[in-house]
Amino acid sequence: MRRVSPSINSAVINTARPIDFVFENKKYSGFDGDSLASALSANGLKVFSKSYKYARPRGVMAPYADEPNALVSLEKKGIYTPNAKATQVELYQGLNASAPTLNPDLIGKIKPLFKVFHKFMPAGFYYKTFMQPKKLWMFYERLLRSFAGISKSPVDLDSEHYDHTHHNCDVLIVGAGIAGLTASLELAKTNKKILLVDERPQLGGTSYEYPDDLVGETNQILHIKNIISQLEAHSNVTILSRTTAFAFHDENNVVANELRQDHLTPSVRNKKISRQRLHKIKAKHVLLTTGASERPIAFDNNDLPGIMLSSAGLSLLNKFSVLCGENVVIFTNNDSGYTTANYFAKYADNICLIDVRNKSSRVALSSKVKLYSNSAIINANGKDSVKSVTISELDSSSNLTDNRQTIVADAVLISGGFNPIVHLDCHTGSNPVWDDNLVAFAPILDKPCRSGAGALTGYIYAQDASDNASEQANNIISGSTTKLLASENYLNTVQFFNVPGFGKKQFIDMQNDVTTNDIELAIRENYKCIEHIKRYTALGFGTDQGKTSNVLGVAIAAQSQKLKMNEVGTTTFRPAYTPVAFGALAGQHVNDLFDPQRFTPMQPSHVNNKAVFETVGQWMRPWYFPQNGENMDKAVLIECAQTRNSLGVIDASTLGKIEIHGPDAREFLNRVYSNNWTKLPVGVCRYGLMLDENGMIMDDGVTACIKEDHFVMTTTTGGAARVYQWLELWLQTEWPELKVFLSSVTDHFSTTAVVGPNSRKLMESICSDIDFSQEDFPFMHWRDGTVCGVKARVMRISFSGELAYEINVQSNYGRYIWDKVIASGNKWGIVQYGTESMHVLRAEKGYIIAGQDTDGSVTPYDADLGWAVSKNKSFSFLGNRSLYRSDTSRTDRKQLVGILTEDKKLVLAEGAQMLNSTEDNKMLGHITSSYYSPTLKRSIAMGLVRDGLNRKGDKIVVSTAKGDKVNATIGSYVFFDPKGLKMNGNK
Amino acid sequence: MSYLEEEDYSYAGEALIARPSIPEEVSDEDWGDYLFMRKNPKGKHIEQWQHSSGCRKFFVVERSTIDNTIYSSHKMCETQNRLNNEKS
Repeated sequence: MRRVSPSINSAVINTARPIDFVFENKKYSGFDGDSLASALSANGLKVFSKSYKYARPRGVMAPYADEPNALVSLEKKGIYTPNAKATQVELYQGLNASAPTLNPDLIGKIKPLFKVFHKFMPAGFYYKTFMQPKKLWMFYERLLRSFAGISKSPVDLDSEHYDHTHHNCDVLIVGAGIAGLTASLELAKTNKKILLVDERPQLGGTSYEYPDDLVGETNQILHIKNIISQLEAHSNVTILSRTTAFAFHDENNVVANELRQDHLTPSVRNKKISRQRLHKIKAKHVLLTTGASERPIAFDNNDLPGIMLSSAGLSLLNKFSVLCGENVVIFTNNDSGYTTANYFAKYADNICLIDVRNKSSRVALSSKVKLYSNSAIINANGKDSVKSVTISELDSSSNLTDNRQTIVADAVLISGGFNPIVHLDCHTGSNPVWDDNLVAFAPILDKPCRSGAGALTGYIYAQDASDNASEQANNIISGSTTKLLASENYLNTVQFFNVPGFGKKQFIDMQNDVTTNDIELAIRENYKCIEHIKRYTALGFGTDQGKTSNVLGVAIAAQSQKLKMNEVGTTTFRPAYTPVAFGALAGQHVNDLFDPQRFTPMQPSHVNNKAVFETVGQWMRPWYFPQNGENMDKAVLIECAQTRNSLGVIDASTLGKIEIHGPDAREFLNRVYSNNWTKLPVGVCRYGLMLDENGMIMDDGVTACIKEDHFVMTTTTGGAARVYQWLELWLQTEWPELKVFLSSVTDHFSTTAVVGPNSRKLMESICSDIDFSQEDFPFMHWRDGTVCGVKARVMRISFSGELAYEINVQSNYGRYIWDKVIASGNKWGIVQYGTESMHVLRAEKGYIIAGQDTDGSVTPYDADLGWAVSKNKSFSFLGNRSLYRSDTSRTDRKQLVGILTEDKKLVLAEGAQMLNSTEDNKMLGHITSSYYSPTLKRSIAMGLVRDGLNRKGDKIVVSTAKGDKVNATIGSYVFFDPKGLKMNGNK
Repeated sequence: MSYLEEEDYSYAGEALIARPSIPEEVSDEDWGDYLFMRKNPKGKHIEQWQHSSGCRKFFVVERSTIDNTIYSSHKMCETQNRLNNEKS
């Protein structure tokens, strides 16, 4: 391989600007405009990778996005990119690339072993051999992965950023080859808003590979350059290059990814703009001009480096001025082989053209080319690259004859016909149909507001593609339709996919090492459907998704089952057309912007007071307050003890709050809660239990009656949005007759809860217009008043079992009240506590947390909360009927009980399994909450146990993470102050 | 409906599933049907949607589960008659 003098017309390289780069730690030089594949080829590199299963050497095979072999890893650390196709990588100064095959030491040791294995590694080999014993699979897989020509996954955080944008346009044109450009110009003349996207760095598609293809009298490249300059004058046309439309969703929603800076040296990339941008495009009409890609013809040893698609050879030659060999053999079943031969005749001396057909070509052949008609390559010879090919003459029915000869070759270019790039049309469920005339699977383009033109629909030559694109563009303008597919096969392609094998491997899918034999074996083993064949053999898997191999695979499957191509059909085409970086899909929804964070008004105080935070839903809540660098366990000991003995304060602002207004508010509560609200007077609060229609606990909270027609409901912190949605659903869909209005006021009020025996004294010191005596302000009542000069609603409710008051004020006074409470509470040694101490305090009292102690399978009876189910309500409240189902009314369901370990210091793991005894492995249930209780000076736990309520006093065992089993006893889940004396301030 | 709209709207289950007016009179099996059995058709499906990032109204949409074609959309109140007929 060598560089030749660039063609004036079609070369995209600039020889005046050399570029240095590194591949596999070795320095190379190329030119501006080169792809990594072309630059390495110009440096004589033929072997790019080792194959997945057999570790065979592989070289560049395809021109662009269809490349199966030449995968590379780019750069290191935060800009590391795995599995880039060398044919698509644009060279830049300092590019650092490496081959993905790993660990040469290992390969040295194991490769000989694998050579012995080759014969025994047919399709399904992994399933058959490595799945037993199952434990070894992990080992085998890691071993095999180290051979695979696939990059390691990135381990460092991506240091670049990505973004998304939206487009609304009249016509989206996908593909800026001759057809796409022609149609764009035609449509640009109207006032329609046009968006043209193309994956390549330069517009023109494959024009650069076939520059001598004329439009009128003009060379194709000059023609497209003329169109591009005309398009620049139209402000209604937007052109995005380096932008791959990779997914086509319903109703003409197309997603495209633009590589904005991948082609630039990392140090000069603009940090202020994104590396890649995802374009979400909604188009009134989509015109697909995605072109066609070449497929090979299979023969023995067809994977040797130096054997490639003729379009790959032309891409190297005409775009990048790289001649891939001096002795070039071209193997074809269509006229394009003649075109290829003519281009190579300009540079190489020995050119042989092997044509399987007996009819004459419409393309005149250069006299320098030696033509072998009625012939086929049956074998390639060579070790690390192709050295010669054996050809055989064919008889009149295309069978091999004994007339054979060997031809010297250092480059073999194959054209087995062209596959329309149908992928996008198929993403919305339109399967392509085999067209006997085009000898290819053709798009059906049957969805509304969608059409296609150019090589996609069979118009291969520039002039035909151009005419067809004009016609289709005018159809879009006039709203009419005309025939879709070309009625003529302009290349005279014949159906010829492979030659009979001679005992060597004949590869269909290079990336997954799938051979013709593998496909035949899969069929013999009854994997006959193409989707099954795919999964049994791995045909069409991987980063290229079988772009060069799928049609050949279908053909082999059809031949060996004596079926027509359409009877086999294709596998399903799914997004993405080519791999897309996760970063591009995530866009700016990363780090701080991944999910909103919510803070209470007291947040700055919490930060000042050294809070450690935990995330609850979207809220950032103080978890614990280490005052002298102590760990969580120590902090919790101090916080709990001080709260139980004197005074604590917690920020409860995150609890969901929903205002319920209207004359039917009370009836509404009766319907959505399991308990009864008929008699709750103004000024009083009540605990409410909310069930889903299946009778399972979904949320709980305290609701206060403010006025006859006004209630305030609280929900769990994490359940607020779901509960609000749930209430709205029933009001709007099932009970529109109820006069009720809901509004979410979670953010409107902040809540400071003062907790502990001295809380009454504290309240009396900061609020003079409420009488806090037990008689005037009993438990579960609320009062309006003024706290530190701020209008407040004070509720006497408790989630700790202590005497406690919750001060609700308008949010913007939240921090003021919080700070005042702490300042006033200092004389009682007030302690701030977080969610961890809150959990311990509530668990000591046996207060459940919906979502932790319940999991959607727990009824009120299972949770021993039967007292909160009212049986004398006129309306059958949500979930009521389900409580009478045969399964929910069983008495031996898993029920919530307390679990006390024999070893008082041992804190069980939440989720730990419970068993009857060390001998009996039948699972009884699991631990839902588990803490060390500073008050009781021992561990406590709650858990769901089969028939638990009837088993209080029973001894069981609980498994630990280490695999030990420890003794424990079932009991009540109220561990502390079961008579509830403390919440009235009594000891 | 495409992902563009799905950022504003959210799916809220099959529509026109009437809650039995006296649940206690319904057999376990019928109650189970009401709770769990859904049509899951290939083709036209009558669904509830909510304008969750907007006015929060629930409404009814006839949508194709094959290609997301929207055949019609209705306010919740427009479906009440049909619902009542099915109940009785």
